[in-house]
This record gives sequence, C-alpha cells and structure tokens, in this order.
Amino acid sequence: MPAATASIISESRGLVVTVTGVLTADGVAAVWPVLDKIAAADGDVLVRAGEVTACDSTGAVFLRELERVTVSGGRRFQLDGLRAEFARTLELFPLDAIVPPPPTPRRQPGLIVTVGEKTCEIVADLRNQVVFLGQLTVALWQVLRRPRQLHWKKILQIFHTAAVDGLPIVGLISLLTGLIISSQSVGPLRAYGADIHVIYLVALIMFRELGPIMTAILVAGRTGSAFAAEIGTMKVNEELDALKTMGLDPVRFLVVERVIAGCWALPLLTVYAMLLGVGASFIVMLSGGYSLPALYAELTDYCTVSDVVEGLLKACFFGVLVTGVGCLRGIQTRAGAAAVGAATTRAVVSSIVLIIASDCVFTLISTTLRDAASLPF
Amino acid sequence: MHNPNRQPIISVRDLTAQYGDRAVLEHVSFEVHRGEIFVILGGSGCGKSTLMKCLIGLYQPAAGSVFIDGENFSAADADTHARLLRKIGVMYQSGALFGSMTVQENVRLPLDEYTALPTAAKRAVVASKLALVGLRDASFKLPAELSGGMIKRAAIARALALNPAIVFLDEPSAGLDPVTSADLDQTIIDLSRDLGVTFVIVTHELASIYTLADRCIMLDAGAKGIIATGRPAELRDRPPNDLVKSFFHRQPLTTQPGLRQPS
Ligand SMILES: Nc1ncnc2c1ncn2[C@@H]1O[C@H](COP(=O)(O)OP(=O)(O)OP(=O)(O)O)[C@@H](O)[C@H]1O
Ligand SMILES: [Mg+2]
Repeated sequence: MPAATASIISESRGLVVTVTGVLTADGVAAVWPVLDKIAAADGDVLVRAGEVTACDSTGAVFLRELERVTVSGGRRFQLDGLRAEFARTLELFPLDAIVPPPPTPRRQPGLIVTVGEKTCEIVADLRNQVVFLGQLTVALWQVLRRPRQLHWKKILQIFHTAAVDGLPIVGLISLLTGLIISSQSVGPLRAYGADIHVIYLVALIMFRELGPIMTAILVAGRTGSAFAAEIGTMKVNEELDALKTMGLDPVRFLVVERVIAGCWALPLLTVYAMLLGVGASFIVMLSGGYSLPALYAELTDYCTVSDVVEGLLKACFFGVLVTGVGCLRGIQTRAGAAAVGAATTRAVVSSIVLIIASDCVFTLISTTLRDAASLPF
Repeated sequence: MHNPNRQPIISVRDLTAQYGDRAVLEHVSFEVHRGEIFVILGGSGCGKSTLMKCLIGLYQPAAGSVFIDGENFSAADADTHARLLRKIGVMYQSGALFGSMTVQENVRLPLDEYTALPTAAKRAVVASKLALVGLRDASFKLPAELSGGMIKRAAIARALALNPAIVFLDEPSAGLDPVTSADLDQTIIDLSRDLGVTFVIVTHELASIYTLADRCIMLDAGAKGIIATGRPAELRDRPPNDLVKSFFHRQPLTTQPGLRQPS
C-alpha cells in the first residue's frame, strides 16, 4: 500500500483529482505519474486534498507542480480541502519557485577550436615554465647572497622526508635493477667469454644513466607530487594570496627551500642507488663463482670517477627539476579539490617527461665530449 | 511556548568533549524541544563547533551522551546511527559543498541517494529549495564560482534537501548582507513554524538572535560549559553574569585584565 494515492475522475466540468495519504518523499514518488495524465488530458482541474494526512515541502512541490501543469495549458486550477497547516507550507513555495531555471548551455567547441586552444595552452605553459625558471633563479640568487634568511631547519626537515624517508624504496628498486641486469646479461656475454664484464656493464648503466634517472623518477612520485599537493591545497585555501598581500613572494617563501633540499637529496639518494645497483651485481657474480679481487679489478680498471661525476651532475639537475616542477604545478592549481589532484598528476607526468628529455641532452653532450677527448666509450 | 511533557528532540547529558588531553567542554547538559529554534552562543573558540560536531555524531564525546528523538546517538549501532542521520541536516561553518558538482547537483545528491522520486520531481524539489534561499540563478554554477554568502546559502539548501526534522546551522549569517540575512532568518522561522523543523543554530548576530531564538545557551571557554540558558530578551534584561551582560550589550569585558577600561 503506497503512502499516498491520487485518482482522476472525468466530470463534465473537468478533471477531479483526489489526493490522499502522506505526501512526503515516498508518497510523492508514488503519486508523481498522475502529473503526466493531467498534462495529457483536457479540462479544468479540481484537486480534493481533504484526506492528505501529512504534507512536507516535497508534498508542497507536488501540489504546485499539479497547479503548474494545469495552468500552463491555459486551464483553471482549484485546490480544495487542504488543511490549513499544509496550506501554509504551500505558501512557502510559490508557483515560480519550483520551475528549474533553464540550464546554461555548455559550449561544444569544434575540432579546430580544440586544437587551437590546446596549442595555446601548451605555448602558455611553456612560457609559464620559463617565467617560473626566471623567478626561481632570481629568488635563489637573492637567497644565496643572504643565506641567513633561509630557514635551514625547514630545509633539513624537507630533506629528511625527501631523502632519508626515500631510502627504502630507492634501495629496493636499485637492488632489483642490479640483480636483473646482471643475471640476464651474464648468459649472452658468456657466449663471447666476456662474462666478467657484467660488472663493467652494470656500473656504467647505474653510474651514468639508471642511477640518476630512476632515483629522479621515484623522487618525482614521492616528493614532487607531495609538494604539488601541499602547495596546491594552500592555493585553494587562498594561502598563496595571503602571502602575496603580505608582500611575500610565494616562490621565495615556498619554492626556494624545497628546491635547495631537493638538489641535495637527489645526488645523495643517487649515490645510494649506484652503490646498491653495483652491489647487487657483485652478489650475482660472486654467487656465480668469481672472486672478489677479480671483480673489483674489473670495476676500477674500466670505470672512472668521471662516470660517477656525470651521474651526480645529472642528479643535481634532476633534483632542481623535480622539486621545481612539483612546486610550479602546485602554484598553478585552479580552484577546488579536483584541481589539487590534477596538479599532482601534472607534476609527476611533466617531471618524468622533462627528466627523459634532459637526459637525452646530457647524454648527447657527454658522448660528444668523450669523442673529442677520444675516450673509449 | 514548549510543552514540558513532550519528549525533547535532542537531549544532551553530562557531555564532555576533549581534543587530546585538553577538555573543551565539561559536563554539559541541556535539552532542545521539538520545533523550537535553539541558538548556541559564545565567544570565538569556546567550543560551539565542537558541541555541534558531538550533536551530529561527527565527534565522539569523551563522556556523556547525546539522545536524538529518545535514542542514544552516541552509543547507537550502525543501523540506528544511519536512521538518526536521516533526521538531521547540517550546514558546516565553511559550507563544505562538493567542489566538483554544481550547486543544484550538490542539493540533489541526498535526493538521489535516499529517495525514489522521479527525475522531474527531484528537479522541482531542488528548484524549490534553491528558491527558498534565493539561489535560483546560481543553480548551474560550481562552488568555486560562488561568493562566500552564496556558498552558505547553497549549503543550507543542501541541508534542507531531505526535509530533516532537525537542522544544524553553524554560523549561517556570517558573510551575508543584512537584507539576505534577514530573509534567511524569516525562512528559518517559516520552516520552523510551518513545517515544525527544529533548528540548532550557532550564531553571533545579535539581531538574528532576537528575531530567531526561542531559547539560547551561552558557552564560555573558561567555564568549559554553559554559563547561561534562557530566552534572548531575558538574558539581555537580566544577565546572570558579566560575560552574558557584555555579550548582549556589546560592551568590552571590564574585568578582563589588560583591556582598556571604558571611560
Ligand atoms: N581538531 C582540533 N584539534 C585540537 N583542538 C581543536 C580542534 N578543533 C578545535 N579545537 C579547539 O577547541 C576549542 C573550541 O573550538 P571550536 O571550533 O569548537 O570553537 P568555536 O566555538 O566554534 O569558535 P568559532 O566561533 O571561532 O567558530 C578551540 O580552543 C580550538 O582550539
Ligand atoms: Mg566554530
């Protein structure tokens, strides 16, 4: 038995609609279909509501909708017998209050417009990055001239969360990479009797490329994203605006410390990654029956300090890049909680793209230099 | 105006609330009667929002209990808890609209979740609630595109969506201009008189307190509890202590050390 009922009788003067029961959300849901019938029929409408036993604002909306459907067809509407207390409820909701305003049409741009807008966005974004780089350089320069102004405690704290707390995951991935490359390359190299060179191979890869790159990607995921989310939330809460009106530059105040912490954290993490990667390779070779002195000689004969230095230079650069991009994306956050999520995603994605792109440039430069100095590889 | 024989709709017994070890409220007891407009007053930071969070079950009191409609809300099982929540509508101090949804979607969300109304009915109900708070024209805006006062009004519309028996409003008129604020007060009075909705309101606006409140309680941070109960006019004319007096007469507290003495 539904909470409310509505029946229609056709009389000579028009339609008589009898509504009974409890006109709250459940009841209204049951009687709502009667509106369609009234809209489809002809003639004036008389609603008998004497047996309505309860009527909240949803019920009032239903009664008003009855009226609207009738009146909009140019017919007359009459409501009979509604208890005084419910009539007062009805007065709270005038006829025009229940009509939803027409939705504002959302513009659907065509293909060309979309392509154009996206291009403009990309160009504007590039421009923003250059501007940001400029602001960051200026801020860093100002700070380096007066290092006392820096909050070293805060930097240490950021360094701790970025570097020390990141040790386990960086260690795990480097160990795994070392193990995989060594165990997979031993076989193919043995075919040429060159299996001892596995150490050389892994060391070169870890020192020059994978050590810095993997660490940077991990830091982008762990720390860059955290910076973007933190600064993004500050932006949403108008905290950045507050800084600006206090005459404080957000870049100086929020970004510089993070970038300084980042450009120390990443090289140190990278050293750790290099050690563990090469260490893993040693483990594989030792368990394959090679002697430790032979392996060590292999490493020192072929690898030079310049390989490690190259990796560390890269790491330093990636450190600035990853933390800088994280902060930039945070600052660029638009309004709302979803925007913070978008900023985080953009921070990680742009970081990874920029890491790879700049790594290509680095590699190009280092091979050219090696060629010029006629070094072997 | 209330009938003392009737069961109170909210009854708070010996409630103590603390953050960590620091008690904000201690041994607070009071009752709210059905259909009345009940106002919670007090200086900033005295625990009004905390009390409200305890009443709506968002914050577990360290001791004591909250009864809603005769059922113990503080110690309710999941089913009872869910049932009692349906009787409650809340507007938070910050509005707390969902940022990814338009105003009308925000108001519609509880209808979608809890009623079987057809789409056209939901649309009409949403429109009626938005008209009630004067936000018809902002139906399709996102919260980020609203002013502070519009956010408040949208949040009130959302709190009213399911026709709750009790509506909690945390500082509804903060950020509203006097005209809109007076309109809102009238809407609250209408809803209370015509629909029998009970309102529990945290506010500082003296003007609204006099027009709105059937009864009020005043909290104080030092006392960690209620320092006065009664009708606003009573409290104004016969303040039981200096704190209440300075609040209702907008005077600085003369006994407070370090403050300039009035000449
Ligand atoms: N999450 C929290 N953790 C710790 N302490 C809190 C927390 N929230 C509030 N407090 C403290 O509890 C006390 C009461 O806070 P509450 O928000 O209830 O004040 P209020 O009366 O609503 O003030 P206002 O009028 O400014 O909104 C304050 O002293 C505040 O510092
Ligand atoms: Mg508060």
